[in-house]
Amino acid sequence: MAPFHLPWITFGAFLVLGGTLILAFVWALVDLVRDRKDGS
Amino acid sequence: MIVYIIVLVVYLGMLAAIGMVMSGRSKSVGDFAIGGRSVGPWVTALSFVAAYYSSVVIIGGGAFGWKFGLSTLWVGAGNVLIGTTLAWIILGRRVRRFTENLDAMTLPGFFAGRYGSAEARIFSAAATGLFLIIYNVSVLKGMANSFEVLMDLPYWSGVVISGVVILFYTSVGGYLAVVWTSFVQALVMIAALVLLTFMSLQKVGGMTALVDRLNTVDPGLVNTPGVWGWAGLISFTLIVSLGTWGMPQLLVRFYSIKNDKMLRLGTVIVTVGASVAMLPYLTGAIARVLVPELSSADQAIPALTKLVLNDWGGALFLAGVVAAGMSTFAGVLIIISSSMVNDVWVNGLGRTLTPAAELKANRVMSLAVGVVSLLIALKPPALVLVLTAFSWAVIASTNLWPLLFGLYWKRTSPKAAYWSMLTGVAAALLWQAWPRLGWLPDLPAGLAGIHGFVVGTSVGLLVIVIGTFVGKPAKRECVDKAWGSR
Repeated sequence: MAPFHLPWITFGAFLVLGGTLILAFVWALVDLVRDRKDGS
Repeated sequence: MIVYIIVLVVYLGMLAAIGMVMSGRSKSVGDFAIGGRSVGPWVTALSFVAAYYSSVVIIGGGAFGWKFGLSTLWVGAGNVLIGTTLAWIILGRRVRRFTENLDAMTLPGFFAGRYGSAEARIFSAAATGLFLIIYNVSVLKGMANSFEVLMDLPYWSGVVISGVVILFYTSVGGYLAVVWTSFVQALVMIAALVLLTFMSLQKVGGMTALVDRLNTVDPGLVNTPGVWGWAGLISFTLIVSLGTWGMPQLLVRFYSIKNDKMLRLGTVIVTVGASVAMLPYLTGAIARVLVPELSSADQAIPALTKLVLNDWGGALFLAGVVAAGMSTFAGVLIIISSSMVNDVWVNGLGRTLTPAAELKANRVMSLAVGVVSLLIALKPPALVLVLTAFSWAVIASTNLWPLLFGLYWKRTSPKAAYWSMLTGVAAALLWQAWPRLGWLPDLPAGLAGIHGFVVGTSVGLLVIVIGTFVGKPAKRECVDKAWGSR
């Protein structure tokens, strides 16, 4: 059983949301680093 | 009642003031249609959220949560991952660069430049324009219904109050007024949704108590896909998530951002802001426990609001719902007017207008389209109400693949792009109309729950891929210009 007594398959929606937030931050960071490398 | 009036008057007055301020900054067609490509990341990102989530999403999402339970959280997660973050990462930069290289201010204008295809421009402008008006009617209807339930105002007055304010600031201030008001509206909408969720979670006893209580009503309200079933859940999630990739009122945010480096910060802001997509579904499920006896699922959110919020909270929530609707309506209005003037009148019919006359034509057109939408929304004919259910399917089936392939596959054939639009729309419409056409055999039970969007986009995808392999690619100069290599 996942947190809040939810089945994992339903709780997965929260995991996807968390993963999406991490994806956005990581993509922005990678893009920034790539841009700086291209600039130098 | 007096509290509602105070909050709304202050709020609507502020929007009108933004329209007045921005009118001085809309000096050319480029300013009016895409804000002169000068908008920063915060305003771009939050106005994207506001244009994406209309009052239909808040009230309708709550209704889905009430009816189908917590499996609907997947719709919210799909909105954030596919409809927002991946859209920004995959489409953002290329749309920004290509539209600047091609000097395109509209999506049909992009098709004309990228493919050198006048027929793709006209078809996209006509199909998108028509179905966006129908979509706008549903947005106005959603706002008026909220006024009706939360303030006991007659339906027509809700249509007129919200319609007139939007028409004013859009026709006067153009795109800049639309994005700046949308920015404010996104903040109001997010605050309202967070407040309602917090208060209703407290009332129900927390998240674990909610799950336990839903389980006693029906375990299908806690499981995925639960009472909804996979066909309905996946179809709906795709249409309201992947569908956004073909929606011009959202894509225009990429044309208008100041430069493509700003998309970086914008992607982070928009992902955080869009996360509120989960909340209408969650509060809808809470409403199933707290207000189980409703004559219609659409009453779930208004009824919950009345139960858990005081007058000030209720007024803020109404402002949030109205904000969601207004920002979507205004965003659509500016898209239709610039498309009708630039794609149909000037480029399609070959009429020459001076820059000043073109700007004036855009203002008049936005006013005219708004008035038409408003009049239809006052008493929507039955056909319009039927069509609103698949306006997104038609618009996305028209634009999704020709845009994506046009950005990533140089070889994509103009004929294939055009036929992908045509067959995608035809397939989506035929699929949706199928149950109403008595002379066709009934669909098998497993297929009946699939939305026309899935059928339309699948057909469109097949046609564009096969057509590109057998057809001729676009002219070299069109491709080079789009990619900025000449």
